[in-house]
Amino acid sequence: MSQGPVMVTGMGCVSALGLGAALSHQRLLEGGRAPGLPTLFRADCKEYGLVFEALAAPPVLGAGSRTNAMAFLAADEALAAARLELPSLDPARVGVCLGTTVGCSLNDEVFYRYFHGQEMPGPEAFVRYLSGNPAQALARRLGLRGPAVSVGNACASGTDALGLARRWLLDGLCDAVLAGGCDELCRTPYLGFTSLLNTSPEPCRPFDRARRGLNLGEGAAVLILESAAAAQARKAPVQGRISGYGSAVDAHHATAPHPEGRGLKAATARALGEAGLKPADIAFINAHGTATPANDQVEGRSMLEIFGPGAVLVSTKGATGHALGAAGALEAAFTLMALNDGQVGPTLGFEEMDPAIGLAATRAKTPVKGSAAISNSLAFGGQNSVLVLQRA
Amino acid sequence: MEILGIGIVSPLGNGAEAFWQGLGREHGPATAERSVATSQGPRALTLFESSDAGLERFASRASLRRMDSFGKWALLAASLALEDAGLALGDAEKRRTGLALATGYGCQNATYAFLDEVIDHGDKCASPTHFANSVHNALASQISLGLGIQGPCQTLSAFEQSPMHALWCARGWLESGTVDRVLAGFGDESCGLLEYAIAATAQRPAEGQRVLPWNEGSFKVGTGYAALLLGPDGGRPGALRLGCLEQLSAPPEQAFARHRAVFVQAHGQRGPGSLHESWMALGNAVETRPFLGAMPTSQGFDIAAAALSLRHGQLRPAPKGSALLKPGDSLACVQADTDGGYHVACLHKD
Repeated sequence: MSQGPVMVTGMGCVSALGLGAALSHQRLLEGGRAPGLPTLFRADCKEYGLVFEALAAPPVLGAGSRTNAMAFLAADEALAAARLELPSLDPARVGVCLGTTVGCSLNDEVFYRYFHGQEMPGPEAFVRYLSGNPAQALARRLGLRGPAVSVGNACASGTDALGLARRWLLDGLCDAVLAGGCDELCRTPYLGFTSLLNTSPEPCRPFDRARRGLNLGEGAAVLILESAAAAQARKAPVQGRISGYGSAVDAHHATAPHPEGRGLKAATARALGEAGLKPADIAFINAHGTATPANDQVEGRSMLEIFGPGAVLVSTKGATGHALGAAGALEAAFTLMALNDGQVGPTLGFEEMDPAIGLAATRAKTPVKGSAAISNSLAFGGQNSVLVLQRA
Repeated sequence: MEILGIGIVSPLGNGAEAFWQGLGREHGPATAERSVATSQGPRALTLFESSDAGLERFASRASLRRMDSFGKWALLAASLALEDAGLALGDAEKRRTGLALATGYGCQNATYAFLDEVIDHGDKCASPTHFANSVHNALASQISLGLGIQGPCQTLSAFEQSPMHALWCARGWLESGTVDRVLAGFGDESCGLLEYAIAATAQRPAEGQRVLPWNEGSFKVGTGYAALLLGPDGGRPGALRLGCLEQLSAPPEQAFARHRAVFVQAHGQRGPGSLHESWMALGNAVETRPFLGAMPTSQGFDIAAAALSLRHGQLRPAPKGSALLKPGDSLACVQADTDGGYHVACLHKD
């Protein structure tokens, strides 16, 4: 069975950086950010974590949820960039694979509050939920009849969706896959991460010595993946390749990473092995880099051990917040754009290296020396997932 | 792929043998009859509830302290599948074992326990434990923690299509050599909100809307967890094999002609008349729904029932006519989904 690369022929991004992949990359290089208190919902917290809201994302008729609306916007952009005319393909050979956390949960709080208060709410929220699984909803919208599934691996969902979609192409299940991730900000994860004492009331500072925690974000990214043969046959505008993917669970703790990065190292080795690359071939690391003390220490030290003191480490969560199920997909797109542009942006919020990590993140625009990079995601459940991406 | 071990947590009992014995009865032990109040009046639901009986053989009480019942079912089913395979995983084997899990609804009770705390006691009282248990991959976390599994992991959700996705994922990992074995898991739980929503939605089956499978089965709510330990097809004589794993756009009537029997998960809402009725009329259809109720991941239980039938040389649930299976007989499991697709898994034993 093939282990080769799959082609990325289109990308679409929605996040606090704005609408559009190219605009997002430009803003990452420029280095501006504006997290704030939540405006999309209210919460009563002892200490309020800042968030990055994707306020530029308009509603989409028929989307059913903000999560799906952002996924639809990203998919439309990606399809246009790929110059892919779906009617020219067999709809049974086009898949949809999206990572999400809230998108496949029936956590409509208003509905639940009525039920909790024994007020017999109407069933509309439930019907909407049954129609709202993001991957199935996107497939239905586009008339696709291939495999469609939402990946629920918490914060690694977007990365794992891309890894699974790559496997579908290599296994011959599909000719093309719309893959990525999507998640809206809502009260459940906001209150949940607050209860875990993982959020920061200040703009987050990935890998910085004084980091205090994460800022939640939201958004969506969709990448069009095609087999090398299919992309070549239709002279598709190849924007990069997914050359390897690895995932591994820590088997250590429900919410904390293994202190030695056991699973992350295994996932990295697996991804590099699939790509046929060595650590020295990796130009930069797009880290999970949430700015929580535990994540950044484990991840930073693991990257130092694998890639050495010269490793170029960047976290884009300082500019987007942690977009949960969308994060890995957004970051894969950002990674490919940085590889193609030959420069990666600053890690916003990073100033002083943490001696407990021993590896600094980027402080400014940094030249990319090489053609390959990795993008990491770590998640609840001890999930670790790594993509190897290569420029066009 | 070969099916190396089967672990079941079900209303029929826990473990492959209890499940098999239960399928030999006339119907399943419905554990609760509920009258659910809706704005349109009361609606009767039948619940098929599962338990975690037997988990103490595999896990200490201390290790289960923060685990909810759904997580316990998943860990128990996975442990039973390893036991059924006669396999104790060493350190190297734990790194070469993957987890491919399917759930239709995810961890509902943990989600609503989280919201209960928020509603009753305020936002500041949100529970970190309930939050951690509410994510879809909480079950993967419980299995990996309980059994030390460190391979790749996917939790996949697409309602009734979920089991097929977990099996595709497992097959891809095995055939690419990513792992040596995969624990594939399929399960759903029920909760008060789901039961209410089923009852309330049943009053208004809106034309053209994606809704629950509309027939009597929708009001028989199943719960439980099925785990299959899968390995690559090594050509072993006598091995239980999962062959085709197909998604079709047209009704898979040829499956009924090709296989000795077909386990069906069908509904009554589509096309002229009822898909369920037309399939059952074909003569070699069998269904586990009267024993287990209905849930999005029911196809995983059908595959387990088909595998056990092949193992025992006898079809259960028993169809009309002979239940004996001959060498070379194959079985299929067909799931109709409400988006117009059909998911077919084929099993045989050499």
